[in-house]
Amino acid sequence: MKKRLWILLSIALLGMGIWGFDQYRKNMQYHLYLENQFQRMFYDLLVDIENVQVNLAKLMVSGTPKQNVMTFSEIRSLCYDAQEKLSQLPIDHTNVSKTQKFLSQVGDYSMALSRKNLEGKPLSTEEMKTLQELHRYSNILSQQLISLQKEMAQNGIKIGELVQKGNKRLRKANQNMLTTNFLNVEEKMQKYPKLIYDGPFSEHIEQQKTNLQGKNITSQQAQKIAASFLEDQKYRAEEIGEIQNNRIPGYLIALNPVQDRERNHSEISMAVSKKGGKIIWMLNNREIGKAKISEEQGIEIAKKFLKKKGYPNMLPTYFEKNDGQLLINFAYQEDGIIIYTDLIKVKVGLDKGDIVGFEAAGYLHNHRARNLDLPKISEEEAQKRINVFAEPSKPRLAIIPTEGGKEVLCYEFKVQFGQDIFLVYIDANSGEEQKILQVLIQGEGILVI
Amino acid sequence: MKKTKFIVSITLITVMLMSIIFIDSIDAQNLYWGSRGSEVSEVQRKLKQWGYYTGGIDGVYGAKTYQAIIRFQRKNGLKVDGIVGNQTKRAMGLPTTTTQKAGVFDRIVQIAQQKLKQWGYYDGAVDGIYGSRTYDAVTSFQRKNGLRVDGIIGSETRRALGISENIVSAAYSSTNRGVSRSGDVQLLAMAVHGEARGEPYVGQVAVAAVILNRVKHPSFPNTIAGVIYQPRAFTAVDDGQIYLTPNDSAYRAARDALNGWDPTGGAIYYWNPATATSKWIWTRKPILRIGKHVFAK
Repeated sequence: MKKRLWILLSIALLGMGIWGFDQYRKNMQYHLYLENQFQRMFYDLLVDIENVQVNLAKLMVSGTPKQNVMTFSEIRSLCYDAQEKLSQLPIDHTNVSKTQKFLSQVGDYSMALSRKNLEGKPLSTEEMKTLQELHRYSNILSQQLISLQKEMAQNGIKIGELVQKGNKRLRKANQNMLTTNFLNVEEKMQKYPKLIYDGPFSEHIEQQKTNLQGKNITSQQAQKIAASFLEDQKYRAEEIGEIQNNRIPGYLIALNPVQDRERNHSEISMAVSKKGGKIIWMLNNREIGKAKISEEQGIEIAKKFLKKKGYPNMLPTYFEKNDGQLLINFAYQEDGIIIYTDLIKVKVGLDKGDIVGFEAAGYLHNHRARNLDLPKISEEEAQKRINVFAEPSKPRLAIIPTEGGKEVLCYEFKVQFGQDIFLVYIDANSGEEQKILQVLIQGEGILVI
Repeated sequence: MKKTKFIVSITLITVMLMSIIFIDSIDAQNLYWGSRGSEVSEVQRKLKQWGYYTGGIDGVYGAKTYQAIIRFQRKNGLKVDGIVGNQTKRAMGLPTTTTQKAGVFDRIVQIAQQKLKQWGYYDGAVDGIYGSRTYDAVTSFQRKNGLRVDGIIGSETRRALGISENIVSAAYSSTNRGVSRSGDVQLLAMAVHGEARGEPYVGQVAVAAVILNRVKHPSFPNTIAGVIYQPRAFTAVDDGQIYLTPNDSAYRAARDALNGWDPTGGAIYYWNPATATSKWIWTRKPILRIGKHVFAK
């Protein structure tokens, strides 16, 4: 009896051992697989940054704009790639955020300078100096990475292990080698020059002042404004939070219909700006039933609503339909010029024909009295800039934002190629092709890319 | 013996060259595999005379003709494509495309002028009149592009300018079928559901907005997937909750955020004060609080 128990136990133990070993083996396989991925990321990152440095150096001696443009576009793709690799390594964001920013900005700055070169403008002394500074920082960065790589090779340390806490062998070496090395870089990156140029990651974008004007209002006033925003029924408003430390500070407000007192689960929320008491956005999360009205009717309702709320000169520019809601983009129009930066979005529920969404942050931030100059080049001249095989429509004048947040007056052409439709923007002063967007008409609506 | 062979070949060449001068009725068009007609016969005869071609002169461009042309092009340092275009014809000594005469209005000239102007070779008027400035522009274009510098807007030059007749090829399919935003919506909805289910709707839109604000921020990856899957960025990604099936509310929140609703007004961080362990996070400037989350810059 006892013997049998022993046999059974030993079989069970053996079985468990085999299972355990199999688990261990699988575990090691996954570890190795992950480690291989990390190593590849790390070495790719290192090589990318080395090449960024080399290309930045080449710019110092290159003489023609064409060569510059080639080099800049190479820097841009290398930076983008390096950033992708860095963001896939298992390091906390806080330890690499400056390095990430550096890579984004160098890539973006290269793009802006290459555009400048293509327009026939050479690099200025300041820009050359900035490039030299950036070269110095990329040099620091690659030096750190090289030394990290050497340390890891010497101590036989794996990247995957660096993130596991409490590893005994690592405690002896340097537990946070990866992090420490990157923190060293981060510290040095604090001082790299502020880059201001025409690009989305430029330093000036964050510091742009908003054009919203008006007196500061109290929470009570904000609640009153919020309660009267929608007119389909009576609402009571309640402040549920304050919005601060951003571009347009405001009050966060929830709306409930006056009739159902007991309901405290609010479906409508909105933000009212402290300055001027404007509605920044509104969202109604109610269930939408079967559509009863057409898209045209929906657009009409939205237009009327905007007029009533003090936005009379708004032109619907495109729409999209989803879950029974119709989203319409409106752009401000003045003297026949469409100003795309002054944007308001309205959502209409196609079942009841009510307003279920409103978003005016773009309008509130950008809108101001502008001095609209006459275009320097004629419609015909602009048309000659368009590809010979694309069939352009009659253009209209529009102000569009550049990537760096500047505004450019353009001729907007709707252009057909094969079955595809595009919007081509020709700078109305310089005649440069500023931007090309593709218009995609799909089941849900119109998409502009 | 050798001498006679030499003389024979010389006479052959002379006869041939002379015959070419009289053949001027050939319609100048590119010949491809499958082309038929007198022009093909002409090419075959030529190639046979020169020993490249061994088949019959039947006026049909087939396998044998193709091989012969390939060999001819390779020997003569031409582009080896099996197409009898102007270059090949010229090398064979056959007449090429009929060309424009100066001073004649032409749609082709007009298109070429526009193209040359766009590319900075021409600064005159786009009027379809082939004048001396157009000539200068065409020749300098040809020189830059390694074409024969003759000032003629022939098929080679047209091709180099990208103004061949049918620029919209049959292979160009509508982009509509190849693009949709459903991938973005799906991924964003998954992240919202994993991170903020049970939060008020505005809080869900806010989480989606933070992800999109990160895409636009220099310190973060530049794609939605890059931001969401950044190691240690979102707990729902690290513990696999992102792979739960999103509900309708998550999809709607994702769509609202993609359409530009940002309740946070530019936040790039959020945390739950009850569970957040990082001290660093409290150094950020809070913008607002919705439900359980604090949103900050």
